[in-house]
Amino acid sequence: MAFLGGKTAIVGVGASRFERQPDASVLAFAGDALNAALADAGLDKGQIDGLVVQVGSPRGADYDTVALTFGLTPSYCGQTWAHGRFAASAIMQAAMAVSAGLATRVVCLMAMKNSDIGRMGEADNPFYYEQFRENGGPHGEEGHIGMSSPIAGAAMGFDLYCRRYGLDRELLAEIPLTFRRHALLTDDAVMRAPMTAADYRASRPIVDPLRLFDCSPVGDGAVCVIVAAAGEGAREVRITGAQGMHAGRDTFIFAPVGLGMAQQSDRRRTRAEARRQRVYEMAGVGPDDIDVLGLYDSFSPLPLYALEDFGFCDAGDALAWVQGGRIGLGGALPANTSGGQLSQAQLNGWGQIRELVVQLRGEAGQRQVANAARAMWASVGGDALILEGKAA
Amino acid sequence: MSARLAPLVNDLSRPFWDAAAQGALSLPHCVETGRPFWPPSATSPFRTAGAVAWRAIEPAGTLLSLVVYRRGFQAPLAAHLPYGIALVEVSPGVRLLAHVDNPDAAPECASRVTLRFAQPQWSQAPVLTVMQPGVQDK
Repeated sequence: MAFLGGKTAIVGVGASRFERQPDASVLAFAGDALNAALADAGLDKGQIDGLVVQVGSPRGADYDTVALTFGLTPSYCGQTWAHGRFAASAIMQAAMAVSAGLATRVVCLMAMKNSDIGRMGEADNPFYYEQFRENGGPHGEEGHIGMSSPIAGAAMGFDLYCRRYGLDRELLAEIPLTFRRHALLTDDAVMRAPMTAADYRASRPIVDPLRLFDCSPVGDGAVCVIVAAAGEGAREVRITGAQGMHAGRDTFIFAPVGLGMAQQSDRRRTRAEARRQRVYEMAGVGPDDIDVLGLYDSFSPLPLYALEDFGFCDAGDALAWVQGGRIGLGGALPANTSGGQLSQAQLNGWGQIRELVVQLRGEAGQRQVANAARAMWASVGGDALILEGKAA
Repeated sequence: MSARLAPLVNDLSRPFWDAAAQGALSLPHCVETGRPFWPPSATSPFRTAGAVAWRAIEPAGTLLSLVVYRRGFQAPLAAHLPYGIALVEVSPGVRLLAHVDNPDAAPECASRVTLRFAQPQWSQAPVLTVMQPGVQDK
C-alpha cells in the first residue's frame, strides 16, 4: 500500500489564460501551460521523459501532437478519454510511471477548447453521439427519449438527493456563491462579477432543478502539472495519497454512492466506511487532517456528494454542513479557493489541483489559507489525491 | 444527419425494441437469481457469466424523480419544450428513464405510474413514456 504514497511529488504547475478565444489554437493554450510549468519547475524540456495527456482530439491535442509540436521526446506516454473526471487519474498515472521506473519527469497536460463548438448534446458538438452510446451515455443520457447533455444527469441526481433527504433545493446557492467570492480574488478567473443570492435565484432555468449558475462555464484553456520523484524540488508538493476512479452499478457520475440513481442500490456509505478508504490509508491521515480541499464541481451539487462519500460529513448532511461559510476562505475547511470550475474556469478539475499546489507552497496571496500543510482533491467519481507541502 | 433521434439497435438490445414495437416492456433477467436488470447484457451482472433470459414485465412503476428541460439541446425536440424526463422504478432496484410530455401536469413523485411506448415524430424508435391521461402527444 505504501508503494506509491510519498514517493513522488508535483514539482511544477502552469496554466494558460482561460478566456474564450475562438480564433486561437488549442496548441497555443497547451504551450502556454507547458512552458509555464517547466519554468515553475526550473526544468528544460529536454529533461521531460514522460507525457500523460487528458482530453485529446478533437477538443484538445493528442499526446503525439503535443510531443511533435513542442519538441518533447517522451519514452512513456499515456492519454485518458476526453471527459472530465480524469485529472487525478492522469497525475496518478504519472506518479505510478515514476515510481515504477518507467519515467523520471512526467508532464501531465490538460488542454481543451470549447468556444468553437456547440454545447454537449447539440448536433455541432463532437460528442453529439454520446447520448446514443450503447447502454447509456456517460452522464446518464438516453438521446432518443430526450435525455441529452450532461446537465440532465446532474439535475436528476440532485432532485433525487433532495427528495431522499427532504432538503430545500435553494440551500444549494451556498456552493456557487462561495466559489464566486473566491473567484473575485483570483486574477485568472473568468467569472469575476460579484454574484448575490438574488442573482443566483434569477438565473435562467436550464433543466429543473438546475439553473445556469449551477453550471460551470465551458471555455478554453490548459493546465500542466509536472510529476517527478520526491526529494528533488525545493518547492515540491508530495503526493502522499491516491485513489483511482470508481465504477460499477452502485456508482453514477453525478450522484453519491448508493443514492438510488440509475441502477444504484439505496445503501449509502457510512461515515466510518468513507473514512477507511485507500487514499486515507495510503497517506496515513483522515478527513480531519485536511487543511484545504479541491472538489469536482462541473455542476454545483457535485461537491456535496464528494464531502459525504469521503467522510467529511454524514450521508445527506452536506447541504446543511456547507452553510454559513464553512467551505469558504476563512471557514473551517476552505474548498475550491480559486473559484472552482463554477467560477474560475471549467478545466476538468485541473484548476483546483493547481490551486492546491499553490496553497501548499504558501504562494496563494490574498487567497492563502493560513498554515495550509495538507490538501485533498476529492471527486464524486471516487478518485482522490492527498498532497503535502513542506509544512506538513 | 437524420432529423429524428435514433438509438443504437443491435442483437443485444433487439429483444427490447421488438417487444416495444408491440407495446410491451421486456427486460433481461438473470436466470439464476430471477432478477431483472438494465441495461442489457448477454451475461448476468449478478453472476459470473450467468445466463440471461428476456421476459415481459408490467409497464408500470414508481415515479422517483422528474427533471424538466427548459432549454433544448436536440433540434428535433426544440418545439416540444418544456418536456420532462422521469426516473421510474419498474421492479425493485431496476430503474428506467421515461419521457414526460407535459411536466406541468406530471404525476407526483413517489406515485405509481403506468408506462406506454409512444411513437412521436421526433424519434425513430418507440419512446417509453409516462401515461398522462388527457394529455396529447406533443
